[in-house]
Amino acid sequence: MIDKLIESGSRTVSARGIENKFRSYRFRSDRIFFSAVNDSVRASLGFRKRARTAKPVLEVYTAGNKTSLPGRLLKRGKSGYSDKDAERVYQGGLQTWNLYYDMFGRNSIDGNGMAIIQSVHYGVKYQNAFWNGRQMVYGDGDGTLFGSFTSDVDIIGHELTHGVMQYSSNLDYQNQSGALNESFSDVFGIMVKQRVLNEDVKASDWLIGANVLIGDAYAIRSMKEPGSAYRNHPVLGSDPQPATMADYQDLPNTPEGDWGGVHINSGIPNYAFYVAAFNRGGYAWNTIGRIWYTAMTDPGRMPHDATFAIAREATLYHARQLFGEGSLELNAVALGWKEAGVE
Amino acid sequence: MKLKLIQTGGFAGLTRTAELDIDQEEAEALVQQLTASAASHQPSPNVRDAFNHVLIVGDQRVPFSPEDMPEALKPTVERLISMLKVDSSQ
Repeated sequence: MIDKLIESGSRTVSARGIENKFRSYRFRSDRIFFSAVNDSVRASLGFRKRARTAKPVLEVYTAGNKTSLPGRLLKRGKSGYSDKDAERVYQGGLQTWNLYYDMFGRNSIDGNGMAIIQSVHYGVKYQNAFWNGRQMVYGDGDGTLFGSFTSDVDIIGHELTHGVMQYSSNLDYQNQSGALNESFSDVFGIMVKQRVLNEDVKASDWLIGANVLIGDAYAIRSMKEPGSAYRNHPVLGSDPQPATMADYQDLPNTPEGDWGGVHINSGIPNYAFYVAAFNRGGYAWNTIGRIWYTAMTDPGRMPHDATFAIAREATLYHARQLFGEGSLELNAVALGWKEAGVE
Repeated sequence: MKLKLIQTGGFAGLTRTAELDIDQEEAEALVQQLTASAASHQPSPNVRDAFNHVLIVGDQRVPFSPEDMPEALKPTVERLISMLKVDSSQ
């Protein structure tokens, strides 16, 4: 009955329906309850560009080359942070907040203005950036293979998006749902980069981590051509990402297999997004990005154990809802998944 | 006896490995202590892009997180971590 209300098309009724539906989820997790209501109500009301009424809260810490988090809070002066990495993650965090708020109506990680907490200089020559469930963390890299993990705004957008998912679809970090989790992070990471650079889908290089991996010819991932981000790299060899289901890698769901290859098979949904956005044209965040945002934050259609096929269904559904039957966007989304071999 | 460390995942999704020859008694003690310590517990379910670490001795494998390592095991494990090399065959 509540499901019917939600699908009933009347916007006022459907918002209430969603609210009731999630009220019954309350005992599972208050956090998920609140963020799901916010997202779904927002989605049901449609996207609306609006004057900024909220402001981001950003805190930058230094771990001081140790591994305790968050570390020591850094102060921002008139000309920004004196620490270059701190300034980068501040600006990157701000730009990511801007994309989510301006384009998708989401106020921060939890949809409720949560402080964006980031720590730089984690560990010694640490070659990674991660989301620890509460905040973003960046290593300095070893300076030979990797530069600082603050070097790419798409990495900052990627890590923050892991937080957004924690408060929405919360995709399991294993197998196809894990690869989707990784892919959504790349999708929003690349849109942060494209918006900062004011690049449309044709101007973008669609590269993730183009600066952090040292060497002009190298990036960590290519969304346009998964498997081509680095070739014959003296240390890394060649990019193992597949672009289509035909090359899906069945890796073990263990730490040795990176939980079924979540950082490998993400190439497939990444490619689907690229093909869809490229074929639609214009700025990704105005078109296919909206569809991906709505799908990613819709736990009803993007359950925590979603497969690529379920993600395809969810994006097709939201393409129809947002842009209509026969729209350029709906056709582009269908083409994207088709090219990636996902049915 | 061979002590092997496998590190996977991270933002870049690379597989790195390192090996060290140590005597059997030391290897067995290490596995036992590591298994009994907080370091061998599964990481928080909300962590994303973290490295995954597995120590392999003979037919035993112990997933662990270096951040929670008991002091006594740190020298050996940190030495192994410093020796990690990208395995590009995977």
